[in-house]
Amino acid sequence: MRFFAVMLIAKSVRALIRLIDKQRGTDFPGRIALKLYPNFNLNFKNINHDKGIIVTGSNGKSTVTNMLYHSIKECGCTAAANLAGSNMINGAVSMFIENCTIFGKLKTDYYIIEADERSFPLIYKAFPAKNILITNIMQDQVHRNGEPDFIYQILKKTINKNMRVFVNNDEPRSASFAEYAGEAVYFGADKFAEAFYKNGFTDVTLPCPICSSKIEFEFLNLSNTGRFKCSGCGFASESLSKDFVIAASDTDFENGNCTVKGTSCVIPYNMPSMVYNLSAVLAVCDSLGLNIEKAAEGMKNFINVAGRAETIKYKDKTIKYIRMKQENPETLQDALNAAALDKTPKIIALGLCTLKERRPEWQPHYTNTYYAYESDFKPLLNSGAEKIICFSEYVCYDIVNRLKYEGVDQDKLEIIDSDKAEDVFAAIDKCVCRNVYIITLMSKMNEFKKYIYKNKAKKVKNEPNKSFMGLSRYL
Amino acid sequence: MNQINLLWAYPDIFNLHGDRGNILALMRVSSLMGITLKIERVENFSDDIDFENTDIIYVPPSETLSALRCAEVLLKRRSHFEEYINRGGLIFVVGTSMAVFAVSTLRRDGSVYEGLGLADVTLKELRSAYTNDEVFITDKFGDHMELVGCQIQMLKADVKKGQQLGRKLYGYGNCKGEYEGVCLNGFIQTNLLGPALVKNPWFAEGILKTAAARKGIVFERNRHEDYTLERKSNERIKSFIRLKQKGPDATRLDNEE
Repeated sequence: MRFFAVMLIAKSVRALIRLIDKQRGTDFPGRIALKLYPNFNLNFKNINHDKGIIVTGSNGKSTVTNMLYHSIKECGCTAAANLAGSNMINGAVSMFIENCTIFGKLKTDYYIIEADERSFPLIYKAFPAKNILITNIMQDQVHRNGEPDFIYQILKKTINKNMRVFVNNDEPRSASFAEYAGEAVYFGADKFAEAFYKNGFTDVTLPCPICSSKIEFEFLNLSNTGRFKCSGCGFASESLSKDFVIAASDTDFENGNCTVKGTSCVIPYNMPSMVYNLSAVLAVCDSLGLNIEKAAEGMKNFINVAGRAETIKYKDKTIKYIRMKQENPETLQDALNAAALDKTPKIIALGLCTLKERRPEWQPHYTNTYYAYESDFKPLLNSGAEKIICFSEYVCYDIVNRLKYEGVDQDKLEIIDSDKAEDVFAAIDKCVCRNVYIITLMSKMNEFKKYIYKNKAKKVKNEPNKSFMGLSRYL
Repeated sequence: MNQINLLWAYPDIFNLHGDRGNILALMRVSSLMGITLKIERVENFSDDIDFENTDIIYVPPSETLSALRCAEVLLKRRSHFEEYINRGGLIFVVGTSMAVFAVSTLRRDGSVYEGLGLADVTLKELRSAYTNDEVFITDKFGDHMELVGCQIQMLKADVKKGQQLGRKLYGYGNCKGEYEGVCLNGFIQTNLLGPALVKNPWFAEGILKTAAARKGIVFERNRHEDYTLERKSNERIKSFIRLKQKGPDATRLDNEE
């Protein structure tokens, strides 16, 4: 009776919030429900945890959750998922409130929970899904986590033999979780034509999660992601020939496709990180007995959660936005690499920011820009960047300093000691080149979008198969 | 010959916070100072260290677990490190890697790990990371020097009086008190990140000058560099700090162990 009453309240709260704004109500109903009834989550019915998937890790959680949801639907099944990124316990409970009847019966075949790494133990305790997908464990949110091992230990304590884990074969920390689970399926990718190496004198890799010796990469497809081997204990990527490894091969960014388990697939958004997301999704579909050909086919019309990568027509220019996360070297590197795939002349507007701009509620704010020293700017600088606009109210000189260490000609740099859209776009307006990449935080880009839409900008239809490099070719 | 030999300890394992940038800064600053800087990497904890031909051992920040595993291996060679310092060698350590050289580290789970004890410092793991900007001053390199950067602090350090590197103006420092870092005979540690030597090239000069003096090298500066960009950067960051000091998170240093 108590559950029914709380469910009624939570559903009413959700409906009210949605009346005001359809994008909201992804967290608050769960918060209310758990406040009123702490064991609320124990009363849901018709949940088959064998058909539950929890997606966690540092980077790519939201995208993989969205892709998985899309794929399951393409296979003719139904799924509940917290697609809007409310990835803590309240968000997970809100998702079930949304997808259950008033009596708490889940209406879908599957459920997918995107789980914040720190919230993973709590979410798993509430919803012990059989399938756990760990995208990667990278340096992320150091203001909260300090070091990757902090998150690694949190996950390690929760991974158990009842689980089937989906781990990244090319990312050492993720791959090492296979040891602690009952069953492991590896996803990954064969060497890209665009693969790179870390063999420069000042290049660094990472410690082995098992023995802390040096990890050596045969090649890297993404930052700290590639075929690896520990120089101490021998822990290594699994051979792609093993039947529990589902890896993308024949990846072709020119045509935007790859092959997974013999199935030809379109790479959504044609970005390197998406190949890993795709193989992860298809590995889950395959293990759940879904038709991976249908799932792969469905990727042709997959539209990602807004804001990760966008193209906007602005005056005579095409603005291409690639998201980077605060204090996250891998996402900065991926953004740089994605822009570097475009070999045509371009302007780069690079805005590293203070923590205040990302999360005003996380205090104290600070000006950390270390992650720029973990990223390699050379591929971008060698790809035809005519000018780099370094913008930020407080850390613009740090960006310039970083580029100076990369040997960038000072004439190519413009310093804007402001984060204001009008200042940044005044600099962009002056450029002759019409091909403009903006690499900054999503929150900053959202501010910019308000400005550019006021200036009669036109968003280019978010077409998954039109990659950034493809787009620049036909413009 | 004005050559300083630097050993870069475990760069792939002690890989946090972009501190390979400190190596780039040392390369640049040594060139400006007219010093030939020869850098060698040592990759794994069990690899031999050529103490005889090393003037600076640079130890970048690491994950706590890696530092403790390192200490376990290096304890067998503790006397080599002592001899190295007594002979005039310099060890420069950043951040959490202090756990290698401290007397002991108390982890959150209550376990205690022994370090080399080269500095009379005990460490205690914080409940979660403490992060903030940091500003401190030091006179350990001759001139009065202001250093600006940030901190991502995982360990609280209890450093004996008189052994600190500098006096904190803003941030957490060693343990929320008024001091920052460690400076003993031949041993320098800072919690400052950024990377610290990129943001404060005068700090890199101080490290190189100290190593040169300990080696008995006399050098003349090649050309004058006023580090305009770095000074502008630090002024911006200090203006951000001033803004914070007016706001609610002015001196929020409440992330206790």
